[in-house]
Amino acid sequence: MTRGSLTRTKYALCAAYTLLAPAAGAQARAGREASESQGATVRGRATSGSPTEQTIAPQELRAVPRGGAPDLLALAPGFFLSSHAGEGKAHQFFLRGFDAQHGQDVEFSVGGAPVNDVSNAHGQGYADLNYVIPEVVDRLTVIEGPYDPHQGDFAVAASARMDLAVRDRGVLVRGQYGTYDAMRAVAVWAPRGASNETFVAGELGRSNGWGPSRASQRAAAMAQYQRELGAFTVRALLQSYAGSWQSAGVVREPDFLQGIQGFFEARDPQQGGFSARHGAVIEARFRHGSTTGSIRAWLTRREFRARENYTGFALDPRGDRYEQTYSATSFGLDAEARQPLLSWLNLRGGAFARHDVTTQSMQRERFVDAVAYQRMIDADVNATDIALWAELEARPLSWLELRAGLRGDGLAFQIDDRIARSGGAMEPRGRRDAQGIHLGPKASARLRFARDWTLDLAYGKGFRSPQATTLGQGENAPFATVHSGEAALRFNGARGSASVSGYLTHVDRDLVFDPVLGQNLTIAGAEATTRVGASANARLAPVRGLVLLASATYARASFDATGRAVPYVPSLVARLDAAFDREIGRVRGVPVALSAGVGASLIGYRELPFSERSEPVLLVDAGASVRVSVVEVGVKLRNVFDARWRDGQFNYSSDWDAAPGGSRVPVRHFTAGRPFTADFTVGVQL
Amino acid sequence: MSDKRWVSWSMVASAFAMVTVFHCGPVSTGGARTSIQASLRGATPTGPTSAGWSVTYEQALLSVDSLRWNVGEPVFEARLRQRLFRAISIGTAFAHPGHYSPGDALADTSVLRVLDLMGPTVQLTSITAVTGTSNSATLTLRPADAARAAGTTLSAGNTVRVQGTAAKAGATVRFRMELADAFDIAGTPAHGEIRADGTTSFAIAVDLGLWLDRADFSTLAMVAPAMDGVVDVPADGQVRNALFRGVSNGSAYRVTLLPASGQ
Repeated sequence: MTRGSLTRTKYALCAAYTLLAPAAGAQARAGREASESQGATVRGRATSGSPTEQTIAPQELRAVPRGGAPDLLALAPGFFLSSHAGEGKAHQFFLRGFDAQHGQDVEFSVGGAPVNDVSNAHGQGYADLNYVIPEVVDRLTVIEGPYDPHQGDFAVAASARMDLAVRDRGVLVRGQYGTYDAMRAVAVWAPRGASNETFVAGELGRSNGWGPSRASQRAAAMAQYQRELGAFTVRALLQSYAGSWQSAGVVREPDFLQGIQGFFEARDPQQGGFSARHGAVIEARFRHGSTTGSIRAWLTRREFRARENYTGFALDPRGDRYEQTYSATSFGLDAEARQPLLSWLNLRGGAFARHDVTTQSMQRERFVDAVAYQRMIDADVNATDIALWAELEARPLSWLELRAGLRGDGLAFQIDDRIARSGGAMEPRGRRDAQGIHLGPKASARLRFARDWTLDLAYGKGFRSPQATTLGQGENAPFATVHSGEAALRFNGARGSASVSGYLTHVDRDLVFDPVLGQNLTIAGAEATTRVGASANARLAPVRGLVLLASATYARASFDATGRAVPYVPSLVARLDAAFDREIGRVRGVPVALSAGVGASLIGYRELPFSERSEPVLLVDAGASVRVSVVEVGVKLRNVFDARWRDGQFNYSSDWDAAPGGSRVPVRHFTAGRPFTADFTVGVQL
Repeated sequence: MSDKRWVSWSMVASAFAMVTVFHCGPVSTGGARTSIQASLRGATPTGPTSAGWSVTYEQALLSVDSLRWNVGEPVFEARLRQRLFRAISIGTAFAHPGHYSPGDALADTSVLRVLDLMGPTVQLTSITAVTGTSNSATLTLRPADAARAAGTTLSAGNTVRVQGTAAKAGATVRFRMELADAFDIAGTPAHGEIRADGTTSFAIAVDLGLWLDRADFSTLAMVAPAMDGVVDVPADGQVRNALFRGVSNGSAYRVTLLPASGQ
């Protein structure tokens, strides 16, 4: 796509939104009332009421093909997911001008359990969502910005929460087979008569991958049980997951252009990884008089291993491939309650505690035989995060809602660092401990005007905890602090909703990916960054069975010290999802339903080092299925136009020839994006 | 205000917000791809060596594989800065002393030629580069294969060839020798800002005086000259060792940023 066509697309999106907003408004009220009359109930944790909170029901858009549960995040405005290192490794998340890497700037939780890994050697806040079975994700809630006091560590750009439930009760068995020998089988048992939150689900999958060194396997199980016990609603969740993947790594652009390396070819075939997650959550929700609340405990065991090589032999003639490992046992408590104080005033508050016992390592290994020759990280980290928060919700006037809250986090780290980096050499540094406190005020105002319109203003201060291995003895743990402000105009009607917003976000200690070290680092002298952005989104349900979801987010991210752009961040992320799902008739008394969906993603240029930009990308997915009685057959097409696109793009120095004389001047590298794939599905819903 | 007017307002606000942000001028990450030029010549001795010999070169040939400019500071300067830094501050981790850390490469080129250091200045143009501050350079010297050595007096399989006359106190020795070793001349000072306009130019001078500065040509007195009267320096002799040390000496390579034209 040319830059000219991108510019035209930008204006087309502007125009589309400008047209969509009033169109949605025209159909507003009646539908909302209809929705309320259907008795839609809130499942899982109650909504926070945060002005930037958005709730999405992924199952109503299930006709749009997706790779897995992480891809559901693309339904939220501004989310772009990159899968640059194999199917099984956590995605790289881009949102609101942030390159959140594998989760450093987005706080994730699934079924009530936090997902982000604390001090993972591969990246702070590493969040692997591949363990989630997409068929049981009932609701996706995204709070953009750090405006809600419940948001804690990693909620720099946003928080995303997946609530699990199955509305189509009974037994679902589905098989899938497609190009590159990709197979998937999923079974869901949702006992009739039990609540929607009760189910058992399992998933098996494997693929040879769309090119050399891209095979993957996965197995996941999730079981959740919920029932009423007097004034309590009790929920228990168990999950287990293991996945492994191969990765083709990067392609050196000059080598590709000279025909030395193919677009999908791997230079180091020994890249890949393994990830496992096993966890349990138990939750009690209660109502006592006018007070509502919940208390939740969770336990998680994580295993992670990644082997990657971005630089070939540039750092050492023996080979630069590194192996990173991380294992953790994490457990915690999360409690919150809401109590009316006056007819117009509510108090909301809670407590959070988390403890992580982790072991991590990083070492370089020889290219040929994978024997380790240099150990760079060998550390145990015990991390504790204890938080208290409270918020006052006031509605002094019928058209005015005010919120003001404060969250305090105390983080403590105990580090047994057996090897620590010290300049260009490795020196033992021994045991250290560090502690820090972060206070984050939040405030927002919502002005209601007309019948379906609101104007939201919000401010919040959030934080990201430091990578523990970088801390010194007794150091006051240097949090990355984010200040963010937002103004949004929203329309919320029955058959549609729309909003347009602008935001300003400042991070005092940002992290940027360094391909050479395979880690996220602060840039000395330019740690602070600022993002300015605008977002527009609309949801329409113009006719029964048809849902349209459109969003566009534009952001500029720059370093405060230099005014230069933060690299790797997409300027524009636009997404359109259209899904139709409806019974279209009967054949001999047997109901026949048609389901069809299209999803399109436009990822604008990304700023790259040396004033370069990546090419914009347009990707289109489509799917359709027919359901006759209890049997459903369908097809899912990903990247319909088989666009040859570059997923991850970097500029750095590498050497893949293992011979002297090769250029070390930084050049473009990329990871190949997913080509056209077709998958056929057969399912039975009993 | 009626719903219709609010809808109109929202249309205007939406369009204004989007168009305003979309129209903001682009910012870049800074820096750029560019190219630099370099010239390379031999600098003949201007006085006697530290051993008192006056050396006159007839031939000086060097097989160069590549040249590279790096961000990393030269070894000596890095050490000095570390000492100063440590003297005035608390102990912060720094580059390990004694090791040259080249850092990012800013420019490099594959030369793959035998350069005649007694001939005219060799011009190297359009060297691939990115903008930034260069602090050091690395020269990679490798033995020439037959193809590279063809047309020169350097024998295939060798990296350096010198031939000349050394004189001291009435004694005169004509000598010649070749070295087959590989040399990585790393951490040579090469300070300069590589600009985006492609006009950055460096001059590289090979100080031939330093190459043989420690040579004691009196050790060749007992060696019989060849038919042409030139002594072929013995493989294990002091003069050959001195040449090896001289070629290895990073100080023998001076990399200087040339002033931009018009300045």
